[in-house]
Amino acid sequence: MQGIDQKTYLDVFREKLCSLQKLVQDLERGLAPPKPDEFIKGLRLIIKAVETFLSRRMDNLQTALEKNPDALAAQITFHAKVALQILGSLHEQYLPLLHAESQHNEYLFKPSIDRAVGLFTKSGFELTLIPDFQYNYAFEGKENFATREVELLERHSDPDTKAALVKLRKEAALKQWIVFLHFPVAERDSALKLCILAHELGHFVDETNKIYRDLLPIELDKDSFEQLVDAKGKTPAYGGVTPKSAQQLTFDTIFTRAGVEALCYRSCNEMLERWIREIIADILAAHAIGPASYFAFNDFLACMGAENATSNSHPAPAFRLQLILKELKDTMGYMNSASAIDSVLSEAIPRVAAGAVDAKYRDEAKVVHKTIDSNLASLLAKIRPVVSEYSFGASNYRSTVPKILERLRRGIAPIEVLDEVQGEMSAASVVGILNAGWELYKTDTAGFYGEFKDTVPELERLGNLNHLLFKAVEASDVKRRWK
Amino acid sequence: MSASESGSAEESLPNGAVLSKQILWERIKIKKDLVVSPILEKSQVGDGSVDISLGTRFIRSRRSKTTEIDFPTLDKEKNRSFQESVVVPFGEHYILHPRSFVLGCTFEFIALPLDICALVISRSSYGRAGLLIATAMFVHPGWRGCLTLELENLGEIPIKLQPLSTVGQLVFLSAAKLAEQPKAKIIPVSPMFTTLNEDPRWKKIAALKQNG
Repeated sequence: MQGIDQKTYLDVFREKLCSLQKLVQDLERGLAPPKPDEFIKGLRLIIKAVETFLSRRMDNLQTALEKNPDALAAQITFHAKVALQILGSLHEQYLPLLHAESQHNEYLFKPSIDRAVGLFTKSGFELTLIPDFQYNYAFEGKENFATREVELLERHSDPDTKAALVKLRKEAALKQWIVFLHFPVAERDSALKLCILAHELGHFVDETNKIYRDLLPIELDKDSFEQLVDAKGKTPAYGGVTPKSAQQLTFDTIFTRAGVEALCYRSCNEMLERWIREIIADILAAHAIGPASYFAFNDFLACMGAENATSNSHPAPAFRLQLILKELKDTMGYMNSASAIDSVLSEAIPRVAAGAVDAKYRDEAKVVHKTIDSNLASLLAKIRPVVSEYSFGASNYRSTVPKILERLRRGIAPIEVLDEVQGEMSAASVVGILNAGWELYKTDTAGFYGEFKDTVPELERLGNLNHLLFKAVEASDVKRRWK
Repeated sequence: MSASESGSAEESLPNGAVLSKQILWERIKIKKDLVVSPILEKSQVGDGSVDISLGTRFIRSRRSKTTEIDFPTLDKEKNRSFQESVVVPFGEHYILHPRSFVLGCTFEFIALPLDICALVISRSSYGRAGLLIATAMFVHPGWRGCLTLELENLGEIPIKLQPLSTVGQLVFLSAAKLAEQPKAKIIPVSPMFTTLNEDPRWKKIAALKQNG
């Protein structure tokens, strides 16, 4: 960057500021309600704070360094670069998220999702569903994202500038959490597939309740860890070292056993935390939406064509499926009857167990897998209490799903069911609706498909099933909240 | 259990008779073969009719290169070039300008038994403000789905359309019972655009021309 004068930096800063303001305005104008108002407010706060920071710092520097033009130029350049970097990250990280739309089917789920999340978190939040062109579901939680950026600027400001930034931050009074749930745009018409969002919401519940902190640290499995250190020690260029960790070591330590052990310890623990957080989300989702979480995840993996292999961020798919099934069976009371749903789940157990045995665990993954496996009971015992009050166990399933299913099978959007005790029509539970959808899809499509003319292609019939589910979720939520 | 077995008020009704509130509740809650769902307030069900409200989904026209609507050659792709779907969330509204037209649908999901038909009636209060909600007023026995409403502002002032507002009524009449549940081409939950291109008459009309 040497050779660029301060004027150029200031000019490009102004241009960038102007273009970002316009871009936010344009993107906001294009959004249909409900808009992510808090997020937009946060973006505006950052832009305003950066503008305030730079203009005030420049005023103060000009007074303070009046007699030292070289130092003044250097300082102004430095501050302009900091401001430009913040604007740059705004451009790259946040603006793409403003492409979120709400005029499609996924919007129909949103009120129910908001209500469900509200049960688990007391913090204020704004949740936005983001259709992605990647085939991936993801959670992105930003805690105090805008205020944190402003606080960073405050720390590097003189008292006057700081006071102005504090005022801006307090006036904005943003909600604590801005949450984005990403989903594949191709699945926006599938109420069944969107059940995966329960897992992503599990991440949010974990994040706000810091469940993972109660689960860690765990002592790594000794034998496999020793084997890992031995194996890694034999290779001078330790393949598992990330550049970041490598920089923190010297040549003296890297070739000693203690050095290799330190690196292995670090990489194993990082992987352990990520895997445990996936397990937390899986278990929370299993309790929150019952068998629908298993079916949705199972179909998602199939749809991805996923290998039964671990990654840095996720345990092996078969291991996760096995975990969900085990939770459904042992803790939630499924698979102890001859019902259609219990049969389908029971049939999956040996298949999934074989897959879990087949999964390949190498290096750190082997250590982490063994560590989790030997601590699984205590891990699960700590996760369950978070969701136990809302767990959709087998008895809940049996008392809600059959009535809903009976309507769905006849091609009726199962919005309400008759409450036999009250003798009134009451709102069908959203979780019940989704499970009825999965049960129908997995066990008895023939009856439902038979409601259609022969000329209607099967995929259109399936599409219609999903539309009935969307409608039922939307309308039952209104019924429940209607006063 | 048929109506006659139940000994209900419905027993001796001739075809075309308007169904009373008591019969409607019986069919909704006891026989469960009439579905108007959700019913948000009991007062929605009156003698002979059930109030219906506006849903959240609309299909509106947009300017496009389509030069005309030619029904025999219309297809889904062509439809999409001059129309678009919009969802209006609860609490928001859709502005229907004077002499413009939008397709909406009922918020309620409706399923008629094989011996009941229905008529869609505009609510007169809206009618007096210039809002017309339906032109295809007859609903066949055995029909299922959310009804498409053809909303038109015949007045001079824009009208705010709010999802969940009560825009009309369904009047239920007894009908000669169908032998079996008709098979569906689609069970709609959002407004449906015309499918007139599928009308077999077009081919016959074209054949007439060819044959001289």
